[in-house]
Amino acid sequence: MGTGDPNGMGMAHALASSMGGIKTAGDLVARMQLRKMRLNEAKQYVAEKLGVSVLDLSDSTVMRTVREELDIGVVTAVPGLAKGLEAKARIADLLDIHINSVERLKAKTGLGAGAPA
Amino acid sequence: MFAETGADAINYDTVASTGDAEFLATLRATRTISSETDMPVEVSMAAEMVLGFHGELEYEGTRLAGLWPHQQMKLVERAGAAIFGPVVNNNSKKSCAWNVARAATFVKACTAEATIPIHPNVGNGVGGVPMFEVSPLDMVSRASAAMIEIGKADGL
Repeated sequence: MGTGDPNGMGMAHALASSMGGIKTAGDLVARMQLRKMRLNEAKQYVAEKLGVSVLDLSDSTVMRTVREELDIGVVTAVPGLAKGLEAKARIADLLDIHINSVERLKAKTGLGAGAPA
Repeated sequence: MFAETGADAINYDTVASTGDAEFLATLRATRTISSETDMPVEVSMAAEMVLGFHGELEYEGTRLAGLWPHQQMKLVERAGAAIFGPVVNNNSKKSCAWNVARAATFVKACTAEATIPIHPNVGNGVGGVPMFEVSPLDMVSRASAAMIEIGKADGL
């Protein structure tokens, strides 16, 4: 974060007000916001689905364990754990939401309900 | 097309940078996408006020020229967007504290009445962050925290 660092502003935001993205439950809360839930409602919804408290959602230590146990993707690739679209598909099931890219994958691979006959 | 390629959502950024006609086009596109597909739409503005290059354009009976963030938010909500990103411009003649206070006031007016998440733009020259190629981090972090804790923003 020195002179000329293009990431300087982003890092300041991350430390000052960010939930932490995939390090915590920030990505999950963001997905519920895309379903028109405001922040507090989205946090409550995600916390209930994960079986943790709202405060735990921003705790990277707690959420690392929770994410590993639920196999919904962690910030570093771990052999055997879901990543990319695998994690996305599991997140869609866990949060009971529709994710377009996951639906397309299911349709194209014949793995889901959207598959052509 | 985006829905068929597997896009998860659409983000319209710097909306109304060319004025009221562009804002109208975005609202119409948002309505179509929201009603015909399952994709969420985020609408983020380019500046705090919609400029009236045309001047008489309306969306559902509301004239677009001259709308401020809390008024823009109402139309964006009605169009079916999932997230609204208001912009508050900085006044470079004023202090950082003055600009953050002004930006948080505008954002609070949005969040007080919004039914959808509000993600204000907090970057170079907007949202209380000074217009400078190397952002002073003490000011960025203050603006960032103020937007969440005082402005009650749902994200940035």
